[in-house]
Amino acid sequence: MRRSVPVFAAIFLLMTSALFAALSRPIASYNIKARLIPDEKKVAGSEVLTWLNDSDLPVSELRFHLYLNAFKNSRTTFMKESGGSSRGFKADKDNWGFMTVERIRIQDGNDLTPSLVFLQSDDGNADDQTVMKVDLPAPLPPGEKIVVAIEFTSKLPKVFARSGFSGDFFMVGQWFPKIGVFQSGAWNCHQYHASSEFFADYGTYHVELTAPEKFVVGATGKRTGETKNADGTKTYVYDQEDVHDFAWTACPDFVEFRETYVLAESGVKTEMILLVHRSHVKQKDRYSQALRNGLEFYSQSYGPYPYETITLVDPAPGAMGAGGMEYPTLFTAGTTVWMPRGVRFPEMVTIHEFGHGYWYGMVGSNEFEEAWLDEGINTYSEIKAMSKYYGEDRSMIDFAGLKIGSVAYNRMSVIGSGRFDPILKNAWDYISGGSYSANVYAKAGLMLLTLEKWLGEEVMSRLMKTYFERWKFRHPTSKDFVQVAEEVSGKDLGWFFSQVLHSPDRLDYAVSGLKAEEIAAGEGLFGGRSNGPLPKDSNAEKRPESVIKAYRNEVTVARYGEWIFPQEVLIVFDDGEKVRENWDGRDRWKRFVYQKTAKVVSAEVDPGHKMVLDANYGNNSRVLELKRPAIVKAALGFMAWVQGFLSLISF
Amino acid sequence: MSVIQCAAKGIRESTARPKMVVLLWAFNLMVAGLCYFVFLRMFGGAVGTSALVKEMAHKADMNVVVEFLTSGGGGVVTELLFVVLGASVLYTLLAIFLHGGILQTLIQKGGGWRFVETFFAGGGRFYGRFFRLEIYSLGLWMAAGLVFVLINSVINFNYHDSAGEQTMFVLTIIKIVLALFLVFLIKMIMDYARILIAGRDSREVLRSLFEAVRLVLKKPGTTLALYYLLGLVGWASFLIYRVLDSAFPQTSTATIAIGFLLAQVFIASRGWLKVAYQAAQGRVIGLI
Repeated sequence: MRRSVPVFAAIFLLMTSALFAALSRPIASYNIKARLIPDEKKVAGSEVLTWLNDSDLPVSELRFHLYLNAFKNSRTTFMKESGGSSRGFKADKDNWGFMTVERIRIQDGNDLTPSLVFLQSDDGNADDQTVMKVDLPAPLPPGEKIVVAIEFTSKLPKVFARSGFSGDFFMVGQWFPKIGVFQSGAWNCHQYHASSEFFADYGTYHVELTAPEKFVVGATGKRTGETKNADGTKTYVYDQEDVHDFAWTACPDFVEFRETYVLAESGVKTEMILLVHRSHVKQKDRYSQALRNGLEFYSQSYGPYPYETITLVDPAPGAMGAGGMEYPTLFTAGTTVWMPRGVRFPEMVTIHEFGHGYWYGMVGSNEFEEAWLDEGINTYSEIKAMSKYYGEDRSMIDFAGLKIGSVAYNRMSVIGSGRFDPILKNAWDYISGGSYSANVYAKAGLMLLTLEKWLGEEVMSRLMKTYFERWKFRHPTSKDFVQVAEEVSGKDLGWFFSQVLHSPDRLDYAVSGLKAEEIAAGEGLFGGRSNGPLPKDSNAEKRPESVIKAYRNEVTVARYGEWIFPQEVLIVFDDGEKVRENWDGRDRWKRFVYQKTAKVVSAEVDPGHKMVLDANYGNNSRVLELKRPAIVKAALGFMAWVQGFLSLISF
Repeated sequence: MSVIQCAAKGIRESTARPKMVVLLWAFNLMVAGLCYFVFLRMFGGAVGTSALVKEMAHKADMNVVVEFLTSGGGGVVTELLFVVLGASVLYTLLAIFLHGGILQTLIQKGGGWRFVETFFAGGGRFYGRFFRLEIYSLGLWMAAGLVFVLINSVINFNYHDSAGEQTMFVLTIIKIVLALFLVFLIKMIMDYARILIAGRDSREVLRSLFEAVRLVLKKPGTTLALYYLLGLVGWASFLIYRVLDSAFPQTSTATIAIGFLLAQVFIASRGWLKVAYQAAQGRVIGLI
């Protein structure tokens, strides 16, 4: 018994150490102290960064993102590319945002401030100061750590793109000097662009936030301390491991709700913290239920949610520019006072942004260079979650008789966009913001849905789980995703991804022709000798009128788009017979001919509706006889609407 | 004469003229009918031969609508908008003629076999004057726009506090109500101006317009109450139509035809209401 005590103790220690072991390799860890100065819309801060040179090369300089400098003037790269607006919200020219680095030094060592310069490696725009570089006095050897202390002040802009203030609501994101990623022997530290998000290494964050007492504060991670200060402020301490960013929010009008979410089967136990603006409190239950749905869906589909907290921030009215944004263990949603239950915008945003906790938060792909890996995969996940919980045909809108599902919604986005860009390219290289979102979100989401229908739901489920499990807390690329897809499916999928990821073309297969012609008795001259008159078809007159008619049925299928996908074709005859044909889809068209006593009734390419990316469902099938009542009904409905409209405007 | 008496008189006058109501309905159908054929061609061309539409007779499938609207790279939407815009312009020009016909018939008490002659004579007789009235009314629209912008600016200036979303929501509703009130006010002034022109056979269009404005300002209670009382009748007929239309599934040729007829009865009721409006308003100023 005595001997068993140390054995049990050892086992217990091993188990607990495994339980609390960091999930990621900490590369960039921060110890930050920050004070909110509400009247000046500023955050005064200091940070101590511990950075590990995880590469095989010595590093002689450090590069940092100073994201807030994107809002410093009208000529920054962000402002030039966006035209000073984001998702319909405009920049306030009286409230610029910027970040000042007062001092940067190696802790207990050299002052690096004199070597500070701004880099514009993406576009050479001298007015852009979103990336800074400092030289190290001596190269940092591989495997070594460096501790850097930085004093900074962040002036927040009037919020229109993710970060900033509106009245006394503060969404403080991308607010501190943040080191880039040293990858493949070089710094990956892009400027802040209009159509790009972020990329960073994992680490541990210990952050002390001080704000006036009246503010309700929420942040990435778990609150581990809270102190009242003599000057009427409070200091909140937050700690979080295995994240690559830290964001926080403060507003006196937040109503805080805390709920515990448990999913026993997956071992998930987390505290849901809902910071709902007082004017939206009536919609708290919608947020809460959507977040529960998200936690359940993602935990079951990909892997258990591992963090102890998840914070939902409901932006204040007038601050919707801060809405719909993800940060580790915290995200912003969005709603308005009047939001009908059937308009599922708050639910969609909640599930989508929570989902980024997986695709961006835990699977840390590069949002600058391969945005589809987080936005596309997350749109795919969101479509599936929304369809599961709110109904496939009405998951987006179910209001006043109008029903629109997530798939239809995303298809509209893809079909409505021009064919200028592929899914995979640098986020700032798209022809427009619309093209960026249509490709990176909708088209990539539908691509994965098409892949799922192609491979089967079970294979796709294993694929996604494997990808998540293999790449969580690391930085995968598109190649890694394709590699996992091929490995799990056991198929060569190069043909699929090379078309959809890299080409701006489209998928459009159609039934271009359908006819059934009665095979009539022959007319004219048949057989006979080479010279002299030929006899008439001697059999024609002998055929009785009552013989069963025969038809020559022709079905022509066509490829109108550039992408090539193998197709299944379903042909239905009027005697109920169904014929399935396979077509490799390579040629521009193919004709199937059947001589039968039955007439063809209809033909359809992709009868299993696997090709969600198909640009035109309307031409996928064809019937021999028009469904006249349906068409007339639609036209009459339109006419009645026009009649009402005309009488309204003129009488 | 009280507002209710005027309204009742207007309704009686309108009900007594079924031919005029039928004529107004026929003109509406004629213009909208063009849209029917365009839509039929476009819808039939885009998805008509597709198996997608086979369920459309049973229920409105938004996915089919989406496929239709996104077919041809979105060109369908542009074409439909163009068609509706064209029909609107055409009908607006036609409505100027119809207003003349309605008023001539009401003023001359035309009926029997001479109705059509009276109606068309009125339409032609007043077309130029009513057309000019429409042009002059642009001044009223601009004034109303100015009033709206001013009130909107005052509201925005005083309530730009971002925390007051509830207030902003209520104010938005108020703005919409205000905008509708201004639109209906101008339409009502135009009604009176037409009655003044036709009732006196006046060629002084601008003067009639000013007189109509004066009348409305002088008798705001009577004119507005009458306008909105008859408006309620219009809303009631709309609600009855919607209830009846949704009461049975329109899946067969017969039920689709019944649904179509119901819609036409509703559109005819709009013409009936217009006649009632003009007759009742004419009563207010003693010209009909």
